[in-house]
Amino acid sequence: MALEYFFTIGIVLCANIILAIGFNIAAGYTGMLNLGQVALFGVGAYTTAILATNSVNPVIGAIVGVATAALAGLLLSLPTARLKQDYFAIATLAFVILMLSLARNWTGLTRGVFGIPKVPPLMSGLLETFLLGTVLVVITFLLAWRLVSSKTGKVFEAIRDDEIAAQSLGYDTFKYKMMVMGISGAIAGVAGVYYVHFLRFVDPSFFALPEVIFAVAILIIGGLGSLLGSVLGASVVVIAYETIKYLPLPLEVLGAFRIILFGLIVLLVLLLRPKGIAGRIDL
Amino acid sequence: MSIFLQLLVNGLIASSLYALLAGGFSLIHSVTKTLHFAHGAVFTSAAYATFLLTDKFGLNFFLAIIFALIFSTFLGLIIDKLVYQPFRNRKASLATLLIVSLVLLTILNAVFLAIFGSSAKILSISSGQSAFDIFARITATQIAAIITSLVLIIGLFIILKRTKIGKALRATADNPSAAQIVGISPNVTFSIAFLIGSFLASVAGILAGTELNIYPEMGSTFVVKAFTASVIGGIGSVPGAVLGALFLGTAENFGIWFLPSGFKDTIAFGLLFFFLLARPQGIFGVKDGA
Amino acid sequence: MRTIKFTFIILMISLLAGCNIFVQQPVVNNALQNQPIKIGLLAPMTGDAAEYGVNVEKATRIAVDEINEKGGINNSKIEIILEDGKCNPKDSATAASKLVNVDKVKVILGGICSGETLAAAPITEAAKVILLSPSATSPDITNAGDYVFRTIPSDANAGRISAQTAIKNGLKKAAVLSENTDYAQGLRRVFKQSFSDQNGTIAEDQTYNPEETEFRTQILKIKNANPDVIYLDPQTQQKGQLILKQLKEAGVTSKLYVNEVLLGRELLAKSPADFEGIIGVEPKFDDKAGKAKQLFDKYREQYKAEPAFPYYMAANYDNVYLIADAVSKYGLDTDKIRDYLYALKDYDGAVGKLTIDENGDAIVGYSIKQIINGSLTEIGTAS
Repeated sequence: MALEYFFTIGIVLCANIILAIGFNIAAGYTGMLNLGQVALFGVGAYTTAILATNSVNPVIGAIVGVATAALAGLLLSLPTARLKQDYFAIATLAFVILMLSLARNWTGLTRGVFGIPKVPPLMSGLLETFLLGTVLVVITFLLAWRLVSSKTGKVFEAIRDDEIAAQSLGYDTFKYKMMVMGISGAIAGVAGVYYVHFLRFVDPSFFALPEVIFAVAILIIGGLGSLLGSVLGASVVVIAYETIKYLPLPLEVLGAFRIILFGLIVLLVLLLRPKGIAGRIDL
Repeated sequence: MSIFLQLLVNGLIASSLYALLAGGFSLIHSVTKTLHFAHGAVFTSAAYATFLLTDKFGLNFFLAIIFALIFSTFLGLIIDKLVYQPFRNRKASLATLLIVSLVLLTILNAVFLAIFGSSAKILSISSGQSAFDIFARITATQIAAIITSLVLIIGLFIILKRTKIGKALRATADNPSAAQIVGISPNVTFSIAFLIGSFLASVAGILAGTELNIYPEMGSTFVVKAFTASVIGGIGSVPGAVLGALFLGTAENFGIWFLPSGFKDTIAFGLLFFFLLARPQGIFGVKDGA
Repeated sequence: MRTIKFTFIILMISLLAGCNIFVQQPVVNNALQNQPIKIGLLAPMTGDAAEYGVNVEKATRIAVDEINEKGGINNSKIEIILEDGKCNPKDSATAASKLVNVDKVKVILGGICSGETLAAAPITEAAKVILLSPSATSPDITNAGDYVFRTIPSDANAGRISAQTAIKNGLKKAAVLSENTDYAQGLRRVFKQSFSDQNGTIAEDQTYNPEETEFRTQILKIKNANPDVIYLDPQTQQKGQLILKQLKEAGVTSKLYVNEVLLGRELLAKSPADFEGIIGVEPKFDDKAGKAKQLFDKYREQYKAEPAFPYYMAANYDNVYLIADAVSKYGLDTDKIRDYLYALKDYDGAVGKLTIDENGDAIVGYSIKQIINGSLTEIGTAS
């Protein structure tokens, strides 16, 4: 049945929703435009792929993958958290490019440009993988919801709105920022691990610039500071990305056209409706 | 010794391109506070425009350069007026402008891809060069590139230090509100900064086109290097950016003499990371920064 | 809140629109005559590798049109369903999923890139769909699956033959300059291994990333090592041409052995002087005789352009015919088609004599060519 195709898209969607939620916690709630989010996704994916193809139980590999991504997020925050918002974004973007370089060149670990094929799957069928994805999305959403509704969540938002005021109230904002990066890193890791066990292949293209732009598009279209925004933004972008293929345009132009269209939509949203679909704050 | 000299020359050739790009980028950034990554697309557009005019329309090379320069310089200005200015009017944050710039770069790269396709293009003037042995091996085009870059950079400094326009630019960079009070219109200075910066980028693009392959994403790689150069030299300082470019070009070439050459990019981004985090005022310690 | 409702509505509409597309697919029923036989084509039509996909697709159409003009397969016409893999594993996976699950094809021609093929393989294997590539060269494809085949040999061979030829010609010290892509890295590994195995020394081993455009310092290092021969291993011919120029500028006099990419006919015709003297190894494939000549003459006539990647195009042309032959004998039974392909020996195709080994890889003869006075001259053969 064509159902399998739906499940495939659904799996991609689940991974992107989880990634988007992690991204939004940092960028939307805490004001940290962590463009390195996709690199953390890639770190999770590579870690579990490397372990699983070296006879480590995939479940253990998955857990280690998530932990590594969280650790990477934490480490990334150490030198970058005190930077101003736009410089923070650039520094995290430089991190993505550094990771790309590492993935390509550290061939002993990552097999370089050959990528890592034959990653064992976590679940045995498309339906099961999709269901796992939905479960992960629900769990992530609920945990994130609890986090942002809690006092800690309010501190995050205080940091975003006026970090100095938060500091004067006695909060160690640096520690909170580290926490945010660790958490959104862990969430990115979950998405990366889930996705790579579905795709069963990983290569340096996971760290390419278009992936960053894709995640940013979802963030902006969905809206900052809203978990529902992340869900809706991811849904809209992923589904539109697939269905635009059916436009009756010559294929050579279609790919470029897709990028141009999405880019223009993001710019228009930023200009005319900066809150996106469901966001609570402007960028 | 001759290897050392050759490495220096290699570094100089690379730096001359980076310097033109970094100088313009830094000028635009210091005056308008915009991290104009779409600067890379202006760079690429000049190369493609020259290609289009010479290859498809058979225009004389020097005539083509003139048209390409005009086109790309104004493209840069149009980007400012049509894209950045509406956001500034809405009091968008610097982070927003950054995202806008990155998305715009992506869009323009896709436009180049749609028009010219993904296979690399070569400017026909670049074939059949022979190299001279002056201290080290270098070709006529490369000498021309270095000289052009030097002349334009000196010209930039003269404009900035000795002309009224330059003063206005520096005043706006230093203290936009004060500048406005004494009658310097921010709109006008912004436009001038974009014009000068885009002109330099266009020259760099054409020089790159004569030396290297032209492909849609070439601007992305170069503009990040230009940004790295500005960071190394100290954000907010145009002379710093130029010196940073020199440093970067040299470091890259000396670096991969000792390291495996796959790490050339890592050197550039490693430097970026390091300077952004550890020493945002750059080597030469200028104000502004993180 | 309004926007959220609005978004839900848009999502629902686009989902329904998506369903509509599925409704339009006719239910595949092989037993009925005159139902078109659907074959998938997974190729990069956009993005960096688009030129490969576009050219291969055109060659595929020529084969399909030829077969359909003669009545198709057992009176059923072939219909090609094209999906864009973008030479990107993520996109390739969703494209393959659509071909397998929505279009319900039993055979997919492609991917063109190795990453594309490796990402599609788990999906096609699970559904027992044949995946037949004319151009994916990564060594990993050998073991990618029981239903995965390719009519281009693994990288391994060309690298080995280049090394053997160099040693045979008395060149003992080599330097390698390769691009960091899966195609080029496969060749680099094999060349180095093979060269050292035959007691040659690798004096320098330099790589560069695809985005780089100047290699002066890498070339300086190579020149400094004074090798007898330099093995040039770029991903695209334009990059290769640039390297050749910079080598000349640097005054490098070593012999130049190249991968097949640098033997591309189109650029060779445009600027022969840049390529003078280089020696390259490519699958033995006479594009001026037999089926290949017919194919390329038709191509030139129809599209008014030089075929840019003759081997991949000829290989995919052959693949269409191979599948057509298998299907005419066994219908769309993929187990039988699989066995047919494994049993292929000395098939007379546009690429020459084609044999497939027990891993689904192709075995072909190789031709060693040199550019002499601007034209591609065969100076030897090997296997």
